[in-house]
Amino acid sequence: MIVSFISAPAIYFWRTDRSGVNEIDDRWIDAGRVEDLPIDQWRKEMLLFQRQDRWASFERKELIYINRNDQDITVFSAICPHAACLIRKNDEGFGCPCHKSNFANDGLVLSGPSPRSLDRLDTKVQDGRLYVKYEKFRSGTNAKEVIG
Amino acid sequence: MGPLRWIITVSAVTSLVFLGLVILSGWGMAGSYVPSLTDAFPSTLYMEKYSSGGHLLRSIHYYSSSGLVFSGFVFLCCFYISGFAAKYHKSWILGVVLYLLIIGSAFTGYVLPMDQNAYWGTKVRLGIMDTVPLVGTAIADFLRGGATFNSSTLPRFFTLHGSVFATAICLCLFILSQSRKSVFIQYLSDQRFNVTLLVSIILFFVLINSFSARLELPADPADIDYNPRPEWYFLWLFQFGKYVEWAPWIQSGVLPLLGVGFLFAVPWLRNHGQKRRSAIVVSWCLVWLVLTGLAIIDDQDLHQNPNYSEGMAFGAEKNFNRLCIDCHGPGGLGDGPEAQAFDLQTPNFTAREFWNNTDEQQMIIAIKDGKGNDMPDFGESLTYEQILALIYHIEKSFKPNYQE
Repeated sequence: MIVSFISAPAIYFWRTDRSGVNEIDDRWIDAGRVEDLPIDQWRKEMLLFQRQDRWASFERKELIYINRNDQDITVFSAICPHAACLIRKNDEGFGCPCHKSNFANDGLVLSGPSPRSLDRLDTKVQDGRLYVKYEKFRSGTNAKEVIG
Repeated sequence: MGPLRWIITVSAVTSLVFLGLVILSGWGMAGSYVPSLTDAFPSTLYMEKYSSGGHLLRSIHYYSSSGLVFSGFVFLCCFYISGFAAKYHKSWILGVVLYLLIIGSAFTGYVLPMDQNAYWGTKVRLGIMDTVPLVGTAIADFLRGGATFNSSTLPRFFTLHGSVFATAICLCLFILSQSRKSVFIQYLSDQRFNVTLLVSIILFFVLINSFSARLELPADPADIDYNPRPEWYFLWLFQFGKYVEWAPWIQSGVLPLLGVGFLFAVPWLRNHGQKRRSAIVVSWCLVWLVLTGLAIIDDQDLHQNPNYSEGMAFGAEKNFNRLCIDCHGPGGLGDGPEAQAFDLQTPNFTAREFWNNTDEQQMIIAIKDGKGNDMPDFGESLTYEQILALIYHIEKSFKPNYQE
């Protein structure tokens, strides 16, 4: 009883002091010129950017997969929606080395434990450059919940 | 004294000694460890490679904790088989709590070095925790201080590992020792026991000093080729998880709940007799062995994750081929295509005179700041550690009569 009263302020602080909830950073990351992207070909790209996490600012390195065809540009986060391992490109689409989830080229689950299809990231084109809205989503859930 | 009593005594003493070693070496390391995303790895690397006693401290901590997980397990098994669990149910419950706290410390300590192994292993485990029904996500977020790895993740794990769990362990030990005071005093006043203990600890230090606690390259969240694997004592759970992928809550919720529930219920279960209890322990050990074996067999084709020096050596070779080879040439003769095309002054790494006139410090400066008009500076693109590894690579590949 007494111990739980004494530790309440500490536990309250740990509960409420969270990162990624009220971030004010601009999430649109420059991913290079659109015309440099080959047509109908998947490319693995590394996004480099700076993100503020409470008191500290960090260099972030995040992997994405980009495909451009005649109409639009598809960008998938390389983070597997199941347990947050990094997916790899294979012949049928994408595969996760950790728990063997397989995804088609449109991101749909072909086999394995992944609860949802690959996380598609928002894109916009401005002055001939591709901008990707880089977000992380909670893994292991059916819904796509933004966590950072 | 029967063999069972003997094993109980030995494993209890061993566990206590390991526990003491783990706590003391942990305090030692806390003297120069910094729990932050940017400094955790450099401070660990400093301890391992450049400080005078850090290597031994890390080894003691690493191997004692593994030993503790093992000897504690042996103790609990024998205590259960012998029927003491029902007889001394308070001690049994405290012992189980103590063991769970030790497992908790192992879990929270794993991430602290912030190398590849630490980062990926912890990420996977927190991912598993996320799948615990109802409370999993809340607990994982509570521990991480958010839904992803962030600035307060390491401070929190460090606090749990070194303060919260360590204090709870000491408290448990204190309560346990109260009821066994006479036994402790009897042992500590036995001269032969003290000498044996002291000699074994010294032997342990000497033995351990020639091994190193694993340290891999710094954590790289974008390394697509890394294969995270848990510690040996968690391999079975990892393997089990592969069979119930369709329902991860069995691995993360049902199984641990059953296991812990069984341990706590042991004193009040119908007392089956020693044969039955032995059968339960043996069959559990068999399940453990089979699952661990299967996990090892499954991983046979995977490439081994490189440790720090292997990783740096591999990186140095790549850096040489990327940055140096155009001038210095593939054989280190200074005859690369650029050097020939522009008639540059490039030294011959295979010549004895070069090594007679150059020391390591000069090479570090040359790589860092450049040299003369022809050698560019790489201080921006290579870290100090990478430069050292590069020099080591050059020496190993080209220096005449090179010896390790």
